[in-house]
Amino acid sequence: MSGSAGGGRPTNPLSLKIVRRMFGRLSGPEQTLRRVRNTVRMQRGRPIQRTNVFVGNVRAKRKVGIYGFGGCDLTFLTGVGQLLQPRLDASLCIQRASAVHGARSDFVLQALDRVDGPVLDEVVDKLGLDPAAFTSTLFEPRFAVPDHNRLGTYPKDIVVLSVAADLSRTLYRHRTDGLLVDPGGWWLNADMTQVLGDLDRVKWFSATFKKLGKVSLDGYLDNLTRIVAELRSRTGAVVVVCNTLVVDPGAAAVDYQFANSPATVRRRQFAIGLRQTADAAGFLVLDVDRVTKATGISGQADFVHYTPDQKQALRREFMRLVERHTTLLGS
Amino acid sequence: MASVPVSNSDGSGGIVLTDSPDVIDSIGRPGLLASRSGEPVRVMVEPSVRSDVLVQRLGGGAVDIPPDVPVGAAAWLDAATASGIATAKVAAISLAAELADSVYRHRHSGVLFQVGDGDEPDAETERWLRERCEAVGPIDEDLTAANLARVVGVLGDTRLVVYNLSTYVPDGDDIDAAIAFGDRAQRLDLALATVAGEHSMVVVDADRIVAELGAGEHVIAPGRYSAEAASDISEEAVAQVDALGVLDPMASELSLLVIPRYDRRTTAGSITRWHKSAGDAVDPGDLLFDIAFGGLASRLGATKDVKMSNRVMTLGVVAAEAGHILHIAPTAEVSVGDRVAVIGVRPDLDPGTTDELTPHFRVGLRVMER
Repeated sequence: MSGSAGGGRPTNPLSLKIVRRMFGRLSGPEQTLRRVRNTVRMQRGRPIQRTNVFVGNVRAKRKVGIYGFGGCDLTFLTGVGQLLQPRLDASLCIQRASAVHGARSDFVLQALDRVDGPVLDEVVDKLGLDPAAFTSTLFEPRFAVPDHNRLGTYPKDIVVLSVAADLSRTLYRHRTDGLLVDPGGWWLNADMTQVLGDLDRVKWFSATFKKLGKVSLDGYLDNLTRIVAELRSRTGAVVVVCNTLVVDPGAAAVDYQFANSPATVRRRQFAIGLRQTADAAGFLVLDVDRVTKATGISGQADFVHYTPDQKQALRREFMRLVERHTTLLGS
Repeated sequence: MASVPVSNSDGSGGIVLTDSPDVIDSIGRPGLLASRSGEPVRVMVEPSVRSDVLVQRLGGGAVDIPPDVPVGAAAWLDAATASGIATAKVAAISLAAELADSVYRHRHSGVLFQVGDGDEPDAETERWLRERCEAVGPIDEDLTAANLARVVGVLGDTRLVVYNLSTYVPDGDDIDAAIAFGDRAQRLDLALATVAGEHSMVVVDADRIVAELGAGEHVIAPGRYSAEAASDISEEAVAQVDALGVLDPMASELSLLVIPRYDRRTTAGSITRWHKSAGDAVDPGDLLFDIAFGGLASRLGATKDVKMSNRVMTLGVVAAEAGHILHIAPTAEVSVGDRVAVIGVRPDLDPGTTDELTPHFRVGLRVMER
């Protein structure tokens, strides 16, 4: 395949570079070219690897699926395919779904507890949110490969979650309906001149929603326990939960206010809480904190964006968990 | 360590270090503290003990040493009952001490003491330990936090510097043990961070510093780091002690202006502009020179689709105290730690009389452009 050795980011072929030069990044022609290219690759028995999807050995009858649900800190996951697929007599699909603003535990549970309604339609419309974020996709037992429906669906043998969203995201609750919303997609991705220019929407949001703030540690662990129980009963998956690096990479040596940095304290609290809850709740912990520290954190932009070396180390640690705690590779 | 004066009786006006490897290998390196001060710094070393023993040690002489102590245990009891920390300006201890599981209590007197690592008690001492004492067992993190708070309360004007622990240890053949240690260290670091937020103490964040370098290569054992890591830890620890004002660099009439470190990416750069000339007076807050650090691509290499190979960050170096610039080195390409100017308390001093003990001129950093 056209990719860097060891599962790093694939290099772009000349045809893609030409299309990008002519039409710009992520244009319609680029996406068409990608689909065609992936189809040809699959017909030749080669794996597809993109940021969020890996599919390999599509001709095999047995299917193995790994489903990641979380933000940027889980981008290492699809690279596991390079390590795991050669050891499997099966077609492996690894997908990372969602984004950090759709992955906070209370928001995820909301999809199990409530049904669609007019308020949801209005909120989705006014905030420009993806309606799929409010569905219980995570808890469905199988998942499809994006853009390749004819490959059918894959089972969720392993589901990978992350603590990152619960560490950082703030939710808002609809004052009358109770609907939880993380408007990150709207505020972060929209043209701010457009957002600020539409003051009616801003006023509507302020009048309609109440800020919930960040989730407490106890609240998170209760939510996670329920999520894991639901996942195990509905999908039969082995559940892996990733912690994050707890310290701040690149912290200035002239900044000595360690004790006044509650974000690092919160991350430590959550890392400890995860470990203490894992056995009883029935999930495995992928100790991202340990792996990233061992590899070296000086190249990190922040605590959830990992360097290529760190991602490769995380893939090896994930493989260790697979070998030790699952039957995917035989007993 | 050998060249550092050892005392466990009186720390008056000096700096007391406990002999934990992370403390001694970094801030305890011979001459290091003196090089940042214009006058001799009195440094004393005491045995590193767990916080419950330390609380007892600082108890103000209320400890009655049991009369039945055998000769082989005398040093343990001495270390558990006498301390110069209370009269020192600064005391540096380490969370590594909390890992000790060799703390005992003398049943009759209730006195706590700690058996030193690697100590082999003779038969008499072993019998005394067995018959007259009981093992206390591992310490709980909450108790560590409570003990540290009590230590701060007892110390009064003495500033407490505490090294936290790298949560990484090499796994060898036992990954479970390594992970279990990581959890324990994580809880201890959290306890320290929490208590440090409520009580006046300084934390040396060894966990972060070692992780910046790569803990996989730089952690030898719990609380024991490579020479390179110890050097980086000492840089931060000395700066923190310096910031407490106990080193008094202006006791010397001359000081050296050196290239400061902003973070671990910025190791070499170019001076792009001097805002002062030789002969100029300097006041606190004056901009001295600009320095451009390049080669920052690795820091942002993890960010998708961003190529930062030409990225440059320009920092302004700002005076934190007053003086007169006596000499400016003509070089433009510099590295962190390079001496670029000599500053005197008066304009008529000879800048050529600096030596290894000449203190560093205090500066701050201001991000000018990134």
